[in-house]
Amino acid sequence: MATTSAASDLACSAAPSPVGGASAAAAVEEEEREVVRVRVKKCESFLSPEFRSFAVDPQITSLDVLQHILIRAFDLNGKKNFGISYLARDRLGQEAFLSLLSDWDLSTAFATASKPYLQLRVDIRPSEDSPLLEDWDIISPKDVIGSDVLLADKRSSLTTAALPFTQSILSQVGRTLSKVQQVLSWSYGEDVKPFKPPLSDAEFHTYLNHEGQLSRPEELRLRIYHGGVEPSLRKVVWRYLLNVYPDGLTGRERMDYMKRKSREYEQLKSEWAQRVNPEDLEFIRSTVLKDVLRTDRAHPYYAGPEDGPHLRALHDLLTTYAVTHPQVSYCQGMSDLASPILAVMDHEGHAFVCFCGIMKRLAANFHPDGRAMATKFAHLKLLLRHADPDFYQYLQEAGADDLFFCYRWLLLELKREFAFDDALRMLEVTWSSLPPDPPEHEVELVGPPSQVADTGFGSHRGRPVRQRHMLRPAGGGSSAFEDAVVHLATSSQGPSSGGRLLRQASLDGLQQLRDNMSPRKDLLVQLSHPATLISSKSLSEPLLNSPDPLLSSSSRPDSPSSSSPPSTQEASPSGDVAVGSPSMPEVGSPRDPGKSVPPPPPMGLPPPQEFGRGNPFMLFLCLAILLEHRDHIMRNGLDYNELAMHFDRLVRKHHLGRVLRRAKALFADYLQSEVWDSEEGAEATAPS
Amino acid sequence: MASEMESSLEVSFSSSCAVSGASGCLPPARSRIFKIIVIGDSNVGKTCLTYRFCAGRFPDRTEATIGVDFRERAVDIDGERIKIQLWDTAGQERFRKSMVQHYYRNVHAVVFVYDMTNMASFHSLPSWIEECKQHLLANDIPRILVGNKCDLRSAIQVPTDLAQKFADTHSMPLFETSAKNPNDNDHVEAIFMTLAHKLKSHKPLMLSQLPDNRISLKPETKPAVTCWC
Repeated sequence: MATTSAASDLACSAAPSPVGGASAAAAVEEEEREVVRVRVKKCESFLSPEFRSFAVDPQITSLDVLQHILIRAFDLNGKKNFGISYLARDRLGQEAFLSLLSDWDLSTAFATASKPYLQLRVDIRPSEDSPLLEDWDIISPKDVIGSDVLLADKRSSLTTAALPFTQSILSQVGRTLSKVQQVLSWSYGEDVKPFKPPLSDAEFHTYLNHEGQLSRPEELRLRIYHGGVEPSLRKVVWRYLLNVYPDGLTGRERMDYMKRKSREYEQLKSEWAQRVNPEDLEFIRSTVLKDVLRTDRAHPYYAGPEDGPHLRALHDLLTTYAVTHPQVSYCQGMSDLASPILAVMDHEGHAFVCFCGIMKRLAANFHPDGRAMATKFAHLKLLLRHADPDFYQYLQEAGADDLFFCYRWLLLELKREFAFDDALRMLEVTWSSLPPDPPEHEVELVGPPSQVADTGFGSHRGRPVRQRHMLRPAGGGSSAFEDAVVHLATSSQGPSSGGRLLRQASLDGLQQLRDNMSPRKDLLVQLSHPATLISSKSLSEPLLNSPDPLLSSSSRPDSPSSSSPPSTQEASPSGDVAVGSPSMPEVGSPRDPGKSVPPPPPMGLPPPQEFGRGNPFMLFLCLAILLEHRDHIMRNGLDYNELAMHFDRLVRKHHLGRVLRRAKALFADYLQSEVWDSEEGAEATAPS
Repeated sequence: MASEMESSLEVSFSSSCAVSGASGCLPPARSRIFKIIVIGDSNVGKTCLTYRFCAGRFPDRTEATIGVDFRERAVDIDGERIKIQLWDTAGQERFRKSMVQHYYRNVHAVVFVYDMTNMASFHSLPSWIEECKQHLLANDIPRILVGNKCDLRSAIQVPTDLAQKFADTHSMPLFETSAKNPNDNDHVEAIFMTLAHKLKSHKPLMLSQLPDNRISLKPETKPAVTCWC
């Protein structure tokens, strides 16, 4: 008892100082808001118990991460055979240690952690090694921060047997300090390791049942969100992330499904001449070819000769998509989206099915009316102002608050901003942050036919001389007049109309929040881990409805208003921006902010199902990149062009680890604060 | 490869600004800045031209411009340092609807580019010029027409006299060049330097000044231009 008390007192009193000393100011601030203090007791057969204390961020700590921390803290290197349990109180207030076997258990443990700390117990299972050697293993260099520490520990381990009992206790405390510092630096270091290793084939199979059916799609996505996918496994897993498979397919059914869809693709590829006239086909092919020849040619997969098989496959894939989806057709940038998919799938037919899966979500980015892009810009501005008002004000004064240097980021979901292999990891993490959206029966490989009326992506009443840009050229002697009419119609809407739409959108947003409150409450009770909210079904339903606004806007591309509430809500931000844009040239820069920035919604940032128009995490990646360079930009007083050129030079050079870590932390804050703000005020105090 | 696309100009210029600011002895000497937008059909070589002028060499690889790419170069004209900011714009229609307002905002000059080996890109020029008229506030902004030979292996489809008539009709000077031809390096230089001179002196390029262009091309080619690359 005396031994236990002494060790306990020393550990408790010693633990706070490394926390204070090791953490940066920002980390301290984060800790005050999110950190859960943990005290761990290690029990091992005949040895005296050991104690360690440290703090973790529940947002980013999974069970595997916790195991890694414990392995390091207790020098359990190479010894996996231990159990973890946590102290919990039942309704009657009685305390008992419960087994900690899953991430769900860990979330429960965090939620029920009693102040001032979460109490864990580590039970070491008997092993064939000698008990004494187990306790005093020499630390592997990989586990040591610096060589000095290594030497110190070596000396300590070599001479421990000879030390008197009290000195042995002191050396244990020293090791505790070292381990806590290592854990903290590991958690908050500049160049952070992945919190979780990439999903391996063995682990992936734990998500499949004996027939090969994926039983827990949300958990699979959460797992990939935290660590990505091993490269060799991407070919299989990306089909889930891109919503290629309908639910419930067995292993054999998946193989048959892909074979059938590949045959369907080959059939479509042979029908180019039957679906479009020769002139349009030639235009599509030449446009696609020009871009394919300059897409990712530095990557080995595409570095071959211009008539190589991979470039031909990319060309055929994009041409087939343009021919079978005339309302979308082809637009620059699509080759950037298709390129990583083809490189991973290494099969033209499979890649085409995956490309159809991603374009179901991203086709709106390429709509000529620019509404989807305008919405994303508006949301990114809201987010930046919300996250860093000083930086936002700086950009306003520089006239750069339109953020149009981020156009390529938003259009291509940052695919071109990272080195190719980093882009693959960034893409799969982003896709896994979205709720599953499997097709009801099959991925449709053919889109709606082009419409006869003056609607859709390609307006054939555009400027007649540039008819080659339109897939359906039409004589239009009055095109200039038509443009003037459209312009007048847009102008006549005026700010009042925009304001009306905006107010209506705000009310719709409120109503939608109330409607979603009930299911979110249930989810909150079941899954207290905020990150899990990104997998909830309540996010799926709005996304499933998203095609409706698109179709509606397709049928009336020039109409700023619509009777459909979702369309109205969707149209409002872009409509407001569109109304503001024509008058921009007439007003000075000081007044631009008033025009271009809509007033913030009353509930703060939009909810996840609306934010970023189908991809909220992508906005946080963009924000993370902006904030990574914030100090450089403000310290050097860069103007619009200078900061735009600064980011231009960073193409494919962004540091993936830092950007991902920052984006995930910001995203976690958003998900958590959004929930707290929407629901009971009392619970809002719980995390702090 | 991406690193070769870079220009080191910005780094040194930022350093200069920082040093000036830090010392406090001199007020920060910011150059006059001129924004020039380069517009034309997709794949006529706008990126090659702008890159050639700012970096002094042909880029090994280009990719489709999405939205707008920004390039910059500082030049010394008659003892004054001028900073030219080139907006390399997307040629495809869909991007322009979203971006076009921002292209023309506070613009000082416009460069229209067509591909001499592609007649269709020449036939698109009236639409580009119309777009320019619709979005420019001032009608005396210098505009020039550049015929670029993108593919050295292809035959020229746009004869010079046809292009010259078109340029005369729109009161623009015409330049023909090839961003890929090493021998045309000075020519690309002259195109933008001519424009910079006009911007510096606030004199619009008018049809009546075409003879001046011909004369000025010669002396401007000879003197060495300070390049910050």
